[in-house]
Amino acid sequence: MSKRQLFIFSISLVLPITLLALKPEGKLKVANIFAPVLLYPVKTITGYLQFLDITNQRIEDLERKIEILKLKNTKLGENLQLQRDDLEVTSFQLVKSQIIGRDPSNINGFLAINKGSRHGLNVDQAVICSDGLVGRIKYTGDNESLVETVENNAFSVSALDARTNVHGMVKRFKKLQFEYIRINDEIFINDTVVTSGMSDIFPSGIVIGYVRDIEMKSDLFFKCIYLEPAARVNRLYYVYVITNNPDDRKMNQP
Amino acid sequence: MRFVLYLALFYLFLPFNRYIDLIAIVIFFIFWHENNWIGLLYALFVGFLIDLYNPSRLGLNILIFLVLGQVIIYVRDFIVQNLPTTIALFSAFFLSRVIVISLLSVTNFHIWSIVITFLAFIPIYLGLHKIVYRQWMKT
Repeated sequence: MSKRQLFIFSISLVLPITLLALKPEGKLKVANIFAPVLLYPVKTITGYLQFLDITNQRIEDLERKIEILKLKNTKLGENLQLQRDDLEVTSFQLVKSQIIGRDPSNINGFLAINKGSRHGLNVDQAVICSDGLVGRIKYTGDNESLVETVENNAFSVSALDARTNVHGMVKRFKKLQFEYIRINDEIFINDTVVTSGMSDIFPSGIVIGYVRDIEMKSDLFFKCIYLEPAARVNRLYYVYVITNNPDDRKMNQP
Repeated sequence: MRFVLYLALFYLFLPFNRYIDLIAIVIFFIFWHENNWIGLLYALFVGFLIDLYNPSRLGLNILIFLVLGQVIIYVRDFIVQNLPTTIALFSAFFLSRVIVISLLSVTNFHIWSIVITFLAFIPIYLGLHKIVYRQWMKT
C-alpha cells in the first residue's frame, strides 16, 4: 500500500468514526437528509412489493367474500323457492270490501259489505281480514252482500291446532269453542287454531283464533276448549272476500 | 457497465439483506477483483447505504467495509486466486463482519442468515464472474 493510498484510507476512516460518534438524534438527522435520495430506488421497489402483497391479500379477501356470498345466495335462492311455493298455496284472489252496515239485533253476527255478485262474490265464500277469519258470505245481492261472522251463534268451521295438527270443529255457541278434541290430545293455552281446508268454503291455514281456556267436562271423551277470535269483528272497517279457493285448484291438479 | 451492475445489485439486494447478506458477497467480489479506488468508493457507498437503512448504527458498516476491504485488497497480492482461497477469504471476511457487527451493535447472531449466505456465496460469486468476465473463474 502506497503512502497516498494510506492517506486516503485514513481520511476515509474519519467519516464512519464521526458518524459513529454522533448522538442518536444526530444520526437520525443525517439519515433524514440522505435517505430520501439514496434509498429512493429501494423504497420504490419495496413499495411496489408491498402494493403487490396488499393487492394479493385484497384479492384473497374478495375471493373469500365471493364464496361466502355465493353460499348465501344459494341459501336465499332456496328460501325464495320455498316462499314461492308458499305463495302459490296462499295465492288468494281477494276482493276488498267496505263494511256498510251491521245487524242491529246481532251487531257482530252479520256484516253488510259493499260488494256483490257483480264483483264476483258468491254465497259461501270466505271473508278474512289482516288478523284472520271473519266469516263467510251468507247472501249476495248485485252490489252488496251479507257476511255471517265467527261471532254469530251456530257459526262452524273445520279447524286444526297449528302446533299439533289436532283436528276438530270450531263452533260458536255463546262462546267460540274448539270441539271434538279428545281429552288426551295436547292442546295448550295460546295455541293457534287455523282452518283445516276440509270444507269447500274455507281454504286451509287461515287463523280462526287462539286457545284461551280449557275445561275438562263430565264427558269421558272430549274436553271443552274456548277460543278468542283472531279477528275483532266490532273494530273492522274493511274485509277481504276470497273469490277462489286455492285448495280446490290444487286438488284438481293431476 | 459493470459498475452500474454493482449498483443495481446493491439496490436489489438491500431490502433482503436482513435475511441473506448478498451485499457482502457483491462487495467481496469488488474488493477481490477491482482496483483499490473502486473498492474504497464502493465500501463507502454501500456501507453508507446499509447504515441509512438502519440509522441507529450509522457509520458502522462503512467502517467495517473500509477496514475489511483494505485488508482484502492488501492480502490479494500475496494469494493465488482460485476457488478454495476465494471461499476461505470470503469466510474470514464475512465472519469478521458478523462478529464485529454483533460486538459493536450488541445484536445476536442470526445463524440461519449466516448459513444461507454461505450457501449462496459460490453460485452468486460464479454467476457474477461469468457476467463480468465472461468466464466462471479466473485461471
